[in-house]
Amino acid sequence: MKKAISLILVMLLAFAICVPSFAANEPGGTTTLEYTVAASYEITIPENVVITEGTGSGAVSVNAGSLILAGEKITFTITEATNYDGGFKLVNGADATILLDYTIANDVTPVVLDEAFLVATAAEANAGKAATLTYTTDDAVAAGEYTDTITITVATVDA
Amino acid sequence: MAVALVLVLAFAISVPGFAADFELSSETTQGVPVTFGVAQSFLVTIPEAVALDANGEGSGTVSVSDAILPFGESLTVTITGATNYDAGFRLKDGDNDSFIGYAIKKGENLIQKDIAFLTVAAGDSTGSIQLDFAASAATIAGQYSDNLTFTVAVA
Repeated sequence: MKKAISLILVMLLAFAICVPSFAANEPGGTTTLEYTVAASYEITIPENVVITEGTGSGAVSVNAGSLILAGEKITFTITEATNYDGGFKLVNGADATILLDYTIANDVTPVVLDEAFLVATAAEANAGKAATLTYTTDDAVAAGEYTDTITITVATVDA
Repeated sequence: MAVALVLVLAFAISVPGFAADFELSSETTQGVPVTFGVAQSFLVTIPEAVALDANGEGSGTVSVSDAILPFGESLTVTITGATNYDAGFRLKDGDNDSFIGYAIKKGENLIQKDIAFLTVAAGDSTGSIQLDFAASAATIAGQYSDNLTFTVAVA
């Protein structure tokens, strides 16, 4: 019993001695805020282009509000043309052997197969950017309806 | 062992009496100050990370618990640092120089840098605030982040 009482008293004394040890205290912490903005874009490509009297046009665009990754760009490229043979060609619907050359221009710049004709940075894409392609045919040697199908590939690549 | 402990205790208790100089025949009283200090203590919980959803919104709770504060003082929690701050909170896209502004709100109230948003007064042991984060509309896709520094002070 004496041993127990002595131990308790010593513990109380030790506690009393420890009490005055206040310390300045200005702790803190950090929070990491994370936000992923997924890439997304909206483009407009004409379903068809009608050429009358040798010329026609159609607008291609990346629409405002599109989100491209920083450091990347969006490109529009004609990667295929059904009747392509060293140049764009329309084919006569009644006689496939009758071809009619045509050119495509972005403003005054000729559009070439496999070369991007419209490029937009992330900021430009978000603001919206368009190109109006003008299609111009050579003079026809035979009447009739001529067609071609071009494939426009849209891609995001490193800027 | 018991004897030794009691002796040590008796010695410690008798120490304050050494300075007094008593006359043998007089009756003297000596006041013995007894103090009991309680150290301030508190537990502040700050979220390690807050992820914003696809809409640029997210929330995190900062809380204070088990607070024991000195009389007349209060504990405050303040955002004192934000890595990409420039007259407003901003998220930054990795190594790119793309930024998105964002707001931090407590309910409908905007939280400002260097102004306490959570205060716990002495006598109160807890406090909690949900911080709502809302990013502005993005113009460029990417992985954005910011790092907030919270400072807790008692004054």
